Amino acid sequence: MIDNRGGLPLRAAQVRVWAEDAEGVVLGGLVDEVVRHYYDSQEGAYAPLPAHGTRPFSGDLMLSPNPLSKTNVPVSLEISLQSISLGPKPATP
Amino acid sequence: MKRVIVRSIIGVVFLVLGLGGPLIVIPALLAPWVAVCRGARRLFGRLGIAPLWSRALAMVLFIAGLGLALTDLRARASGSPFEQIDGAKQIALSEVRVVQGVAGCPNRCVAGTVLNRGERTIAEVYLVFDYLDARGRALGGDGLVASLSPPGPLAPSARATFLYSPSASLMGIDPRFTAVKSRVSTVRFPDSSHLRRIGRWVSQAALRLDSGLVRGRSEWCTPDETQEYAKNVAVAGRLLDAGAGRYRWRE
Repeated sequence: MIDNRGGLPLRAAQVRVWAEDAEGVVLGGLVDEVVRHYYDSQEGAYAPLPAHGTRPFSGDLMLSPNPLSKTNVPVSLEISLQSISLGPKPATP
Repeated sequence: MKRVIVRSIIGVVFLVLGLGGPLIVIPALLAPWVAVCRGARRLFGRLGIAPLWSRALAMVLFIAGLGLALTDLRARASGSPFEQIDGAKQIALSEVRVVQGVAGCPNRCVAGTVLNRGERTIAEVYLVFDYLDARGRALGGDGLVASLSPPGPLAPSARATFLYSPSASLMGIDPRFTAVKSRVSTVRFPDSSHLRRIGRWVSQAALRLDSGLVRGRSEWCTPDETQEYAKNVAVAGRLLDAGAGRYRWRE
């Protein structure tokens, strides 16, 4: 879930998602664009995330065995905001 | 409406420059030749030198001027790419660390010191940063020209500090960002060409003029403003076992 608590719409947002085992060893991750502002001829226009709005997101995570991990079993998911685009500033009177 | 008109005018100017480029460049090359010929003929004419000799002297002056200009442009004080990469060895990086809440950087920044151990003055230092969490895991990275204090060029044995805000990658507000690895990728030596210096001065003056015009109609958030706004954006999710070794993540 991405939660835009501010007063401006989000044109685009990228998150970094990764899974860790119990000891914090990373077993896999990806960067995904969860808010998109471009136009895709197949999927249509993506709407920006409005101010004070929330939007769910989901995806598949490909994990691979890490030699540093003793278990290779993911137990936690970490998500961090990678980048955002606010677009033009609102017009001031 | 005013912005649309200004943008239309800028668009037309660029279109004219693009289409009429040759019409501008050719007279620009011919103009010095014509000016030298006319000026020399008048000057030498007043001195009583015959027109044929005046033309010959004008040609000599023009060729000499052209030669000086070409020699100036061929000045390679900035060094070859190999010299610039090799020059990185003469820069010593020290005290590179993550700082927070210092003057000029309300969020997390990278601070450090550079020392010129070599014998040549250095105009610019290109740094590469790897951002790490407390356990030494990579979070991201950046490559940039260090903004030095006092500003460059860096004379031999001179020392300068830098403070960089990684706002474009939102790393400045990432609580995981606690450590940094850094290295000097390359350096740029000062350019001794006078013509190129004049060219740079003109282009920087044009950029300053343009940014001054843009500042008046600021439309887009700066990286620092965007990073400040990103404090209002929260993300959360959990891991789901989809079976057969497959995993999904969702809200």
